[in-house]
Amino acid sequence: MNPVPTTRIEYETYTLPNGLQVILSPHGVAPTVAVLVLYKVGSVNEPRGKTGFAHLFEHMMFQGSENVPREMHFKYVESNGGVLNGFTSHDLTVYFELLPASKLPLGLWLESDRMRSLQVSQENLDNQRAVVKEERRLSVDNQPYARAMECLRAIAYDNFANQHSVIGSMEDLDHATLEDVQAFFRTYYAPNNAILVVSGDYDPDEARAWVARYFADIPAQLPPPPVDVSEPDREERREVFLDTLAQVPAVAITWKIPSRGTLENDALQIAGDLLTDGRAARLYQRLVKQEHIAVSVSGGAEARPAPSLFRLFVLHHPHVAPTRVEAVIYEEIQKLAEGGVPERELERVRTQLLAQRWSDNLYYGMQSPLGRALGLAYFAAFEGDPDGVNRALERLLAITPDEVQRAMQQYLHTSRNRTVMHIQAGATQGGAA
Amino acid sequence: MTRATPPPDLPMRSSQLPLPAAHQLPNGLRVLTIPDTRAPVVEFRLVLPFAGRAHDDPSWVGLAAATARLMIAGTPTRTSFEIADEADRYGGSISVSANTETATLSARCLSAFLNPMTRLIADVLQHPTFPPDEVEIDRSNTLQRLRLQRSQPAFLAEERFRVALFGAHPYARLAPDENALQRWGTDELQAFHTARYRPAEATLLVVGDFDPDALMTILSDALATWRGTTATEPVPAPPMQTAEQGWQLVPRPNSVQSHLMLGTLCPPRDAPDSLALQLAVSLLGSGTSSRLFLTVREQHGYAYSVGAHLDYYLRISAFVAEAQTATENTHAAVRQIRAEVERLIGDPIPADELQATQNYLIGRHMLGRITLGGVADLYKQAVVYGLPLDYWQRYPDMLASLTAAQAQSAAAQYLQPDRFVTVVVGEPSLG
Repeated sequence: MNPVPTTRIEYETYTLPNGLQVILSPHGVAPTVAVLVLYKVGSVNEPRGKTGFAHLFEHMMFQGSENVPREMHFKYVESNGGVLNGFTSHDLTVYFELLPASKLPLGLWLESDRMRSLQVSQENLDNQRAVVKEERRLSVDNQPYARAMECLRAIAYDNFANQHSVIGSMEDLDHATLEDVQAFFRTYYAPNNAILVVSGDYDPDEARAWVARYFADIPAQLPPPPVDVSEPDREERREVFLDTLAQVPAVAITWKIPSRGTLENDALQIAGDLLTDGRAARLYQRLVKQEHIAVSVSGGAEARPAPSLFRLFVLHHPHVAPTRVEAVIYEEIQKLAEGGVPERELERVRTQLLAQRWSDNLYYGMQSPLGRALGLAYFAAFEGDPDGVNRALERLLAITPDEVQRAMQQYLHTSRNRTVMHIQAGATQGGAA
Repeated sequence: MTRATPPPDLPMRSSQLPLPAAHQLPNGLRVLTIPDTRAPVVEFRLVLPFAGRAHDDPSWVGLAAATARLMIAGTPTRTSFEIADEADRYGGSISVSANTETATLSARCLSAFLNPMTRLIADVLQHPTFPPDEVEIDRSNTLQRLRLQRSQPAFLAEERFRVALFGAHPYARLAPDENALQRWGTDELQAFHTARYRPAEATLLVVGDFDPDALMTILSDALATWRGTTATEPVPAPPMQTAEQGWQLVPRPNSVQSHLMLGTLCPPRDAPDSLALQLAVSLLGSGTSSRLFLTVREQHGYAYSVGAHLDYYLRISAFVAEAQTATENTHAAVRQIRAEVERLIGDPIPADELQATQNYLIGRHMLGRITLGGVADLYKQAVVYGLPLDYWQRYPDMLASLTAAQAQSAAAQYLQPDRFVTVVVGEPSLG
């Protein structure tokens, strides 16, 4: 018996004749609305030679449309007391505005104008290409461990669609053309490849009318070509990476695991929490507290709509051999996979799952209209039904110790599909003045 | 029906930020309660005003932060594992951190666990034992974490920037002194806790779905034996002039990008022109329609992330303009940032731009009210900076009443680029 109700996110959904799925989820706890558009396109859709393009394109969506000149998207939102952003992942691209409730029509107008009539110029493309290169330097090339993680992904997966990073390579960014931008827009930014979610404090009848007014006559396009994201089974791969920006060595391990929406992925979400979530988790207790060999432990199971990775990343003390860190990790996995999962530990993880649903993170929790909108959009896009956002928690809470044990036996207690990287600290000491 | 122009607004919907009810325990602890039933969650913020890093003895720099970190390392009745495990089981978390002047205990739980969570907090607060083996683990991990932090451009920049601003003043402290880190043990940590984690000057904020009477009953019982005041001298007044100015390079071999921090010292948050300065700084560098974003990024493509803000300390603030740019664009980006500051203090601010910035700041503040944790953090700021408790109720009106002339005059008074320090973390050749 759970001490708090797993409150549902209420919503209604319908599809416009042009194929746009609309999800309305009124929820009156703050005078704010979130307007969110999810496009079903990400880096998996990029062919060789065009890595980073889906993300570069996301930047272009802020560069002007028929009735919203360059810079004005930012200004309309912020000068009206809102915030906005967009992000690209392997599997999707999302844009959102979080606005005062009275500005709902503005948010819908802005999103519809760029879905209908994006306008791009060579000058804007060159500018945003430079910005994205700085983003790559900031998040990857100038940071310890980030290049190693990019390399790890490339060897953890076998299918190019999954292997390459969202940010892409500098060389491929250089080759992106205005024609690429226009073709990408036509193919992937069609209403029939998108989901619109409105969440927050508003009258749904009013919202339906504004949605119809702005989105109904945007023409549908042919469905985008499907992408093969399947992954073959394989033997273990090992790699040593010398990181010239790092001063503390690390061990990173991944296993390929089934995609979201499967019992196995759910069970491995729980396994990830048992092993790495918080200071009571098994790997933290063993590696940091008992063995004194690690500084930090992080990881868990991805939930992609494609073969996903179970990841572990351990920063360890320089005098400890990375193989020792590995051995302890495998031992802890073996204990659960062979000895079983104590009900008491599972209970702790279940309570944390419940609590996370009420997280105050604007992106994830039910407290925020944006968190609710993202949850609905993800499940609509990835599992074909927004109600998954309500069933997912029930599903996770119902996972049994046996199911966790079996999933760990099959996918983690094995060198099959495993990739191991030892990251050596190659930075010279004394960067600090 | 036209799509050429933006649509009209719907009617405004307003919200009131509730004011906290103030209570006091016999031991002097002030308790501020804000019942809020929007989520089945309770948020706790306990502010200890004399337990931050600036209060470290000069020969023990880092002890305040270590004390805070190790508050959850054990009590006579609970191991560190049991503390973490219990907090998880209450659907929550508990942590203590040392800030510049204050230390804060932050915790949250599902409402159903209000009673046991409050008792866990009370135990941690009053009876930390700083077990020797936990102190050793923390010592060696802190050393490694320092090496990690000093491989990250943002930390190197912040560390150097604070020294340039504050020189020998305790506000300069960010990282522990490695020599002190080797020496402290259970006794020093106990002594710091005994002297500075006292109820008389502290404030506990509780926001969420709970009954205040029930909470006060639990607190009166659980904190009955917590006693004492903090006999302490305030941190010495900070300098009004930065210790260093001009170009300060932190060489970081193999960098492909420069991390830039330009800045200077400004008046504290309770100064009369503080809000006008905040408005000017936001117009310059907060959000995606700010001047720095639109020129440094959208016009020149020098940076992905660029902005400006005020870092508030208790008795002073620091203006910071920050960007990361390719090594070869370092000088051009610095010039562009300085040019935008010159324009801010030299040219009149257009009325529509002022209005847009006011709306943006008010709107962003309203987003902070959406979650219970956001409300708790707003009031925590009021407590930490000694602002009146109705500050956030009045904030939108205070901001809206400021004029372009007030914003510009505050900028002109405090943001003279020739007094800036410019910290650059990057290629050694940039010196």
